[in-house]
Amino acid sequence: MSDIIALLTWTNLRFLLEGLGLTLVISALSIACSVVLGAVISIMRGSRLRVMRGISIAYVELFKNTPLLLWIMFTFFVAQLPPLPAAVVAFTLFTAASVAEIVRGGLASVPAGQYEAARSQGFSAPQMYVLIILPQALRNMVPALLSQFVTTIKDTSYLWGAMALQELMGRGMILMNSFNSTVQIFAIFGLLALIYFAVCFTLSQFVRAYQKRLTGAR
Amino acid sequence: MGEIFAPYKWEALFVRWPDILAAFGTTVGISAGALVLALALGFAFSMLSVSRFKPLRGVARLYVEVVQNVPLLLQVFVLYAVFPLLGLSLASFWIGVLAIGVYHGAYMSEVVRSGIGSIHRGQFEAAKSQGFTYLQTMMLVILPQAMRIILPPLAVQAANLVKNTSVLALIAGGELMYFSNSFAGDTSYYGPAYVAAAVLYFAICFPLSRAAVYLEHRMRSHRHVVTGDATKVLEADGAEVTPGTHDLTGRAAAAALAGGVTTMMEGTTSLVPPVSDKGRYLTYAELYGVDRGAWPDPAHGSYPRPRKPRKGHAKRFASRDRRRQAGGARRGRGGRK
Repeated sequence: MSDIIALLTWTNLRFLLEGLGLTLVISALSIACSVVLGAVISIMRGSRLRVMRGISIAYVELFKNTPLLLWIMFTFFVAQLPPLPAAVVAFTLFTAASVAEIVRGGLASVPAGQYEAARSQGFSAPQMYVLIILPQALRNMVPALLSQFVTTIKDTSYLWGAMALQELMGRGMILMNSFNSTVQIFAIFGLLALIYFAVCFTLSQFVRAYQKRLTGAR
Repeated sequence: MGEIFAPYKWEALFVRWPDILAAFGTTVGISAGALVLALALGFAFSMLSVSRFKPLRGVARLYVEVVQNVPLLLQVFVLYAVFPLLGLSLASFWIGVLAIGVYHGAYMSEVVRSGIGSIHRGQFEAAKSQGFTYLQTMMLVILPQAMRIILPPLAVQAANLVKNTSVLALIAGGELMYFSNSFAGDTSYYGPAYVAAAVLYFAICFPLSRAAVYLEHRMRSHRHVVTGDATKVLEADGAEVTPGTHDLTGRAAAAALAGGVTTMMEGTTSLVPPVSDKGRYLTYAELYGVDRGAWPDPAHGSYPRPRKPRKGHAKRFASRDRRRQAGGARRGRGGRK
């Protein structure tokens, strides 16, 4: 019991929560960047130019069929980026492939009349997408993007093992160096699981509620 | 860039080909074991989640939520670091099978559950009225129909499962990613090590995700053959129709019937339906906002009201409707006269 009390100090909890902060920052940054990249890729998918379509398909297939960990290693060791940018770049590249599919669904959910109206008013293609289509599409994409956010939060746990970035998992492992009785290891794992669960579960419940509202409103 | 991928570095990698092969084999082995476990858990827990007994549904819910909302790596670490403290040491191969199997079992159970949910409740009622037991109903009536809907997302899950075996690299799992890491670490020839791993992972996952697209495609065309009179539609368009070839007629008909969608962004209509949270496909009801009575969810009281025909419906299905009015019992594909 005294082991657990020694572990559950305010300093240690804050140490972990700072890790959670980094986890959330990396995930949020990656999702934000991958929405931009994903939008570009999915708009390219609808391009009239064969090359553009080809690039978009190749991109999605490449990242859909190779593990994320590989890209984390790639950006860190091969591209030799510093840890934080390496993490964000790897997550952005990888997530953009999934986000591209989400954006494609979102674009398809905007009525064709909106495209035609934009064109008839003389909007150029970029103007049309940025000013008219994407803002409307975004509303329908929110649940899927949030669940992608959950996935990304879970996946940031690789970063400690891959590049010693002190996100939540890393902070937990660091704590484990100084608190290494059996009970304490149990407690640390329990605590990590609990924090991840609390964050991810809350988000996924929110996704569910939002989705219900979207389908109910129609 | 040239320096990273210098030829001598590639040579150093390919000299190690027996190790690469062994690591690849381990990845395939772990994937196969985990896939079997995940499928077993997926079907078992989806059965629980459509059970009439609330505690059983609760158990299934708990499993899915806990496993899906905790990082896979943490679950692997629990098997790797915590289980030995309880006197239960597993080889890294079995840690992989167990952890990844359990993790993807949760996702598969969601996939199977939504597949079962998409079967019309009339099917359950019909089976029950014919004296089928619960197990018989599931095995003989429901699952064979649900399979068509379940298979494409299952293939996607299988591809994800293979990708996720790479986390074992972080506990020295001896599989492909671990080999790349240790080779890269030993020699600092990072470029070739990771490119080779990427190629090999791609070689396993790409066929799986193509299979998903193919199954999806086949499922959709099949639906059109069954519901709409594709032959007539195609003949009206002057298309060449070979009666009896489901696939050809179905596929062409799907394209013809989906005309409204393809015009906007030509050639880009997705064959993969929108994915909801948890990476599962949206059910019919979520997708179209139409409730087909997803038994056995107690929230669904009665049959859905018949929908008002859409604009253009009458013209499109004129031939079918005429036939139905005239013949009554005559059903089936139009190609067979």
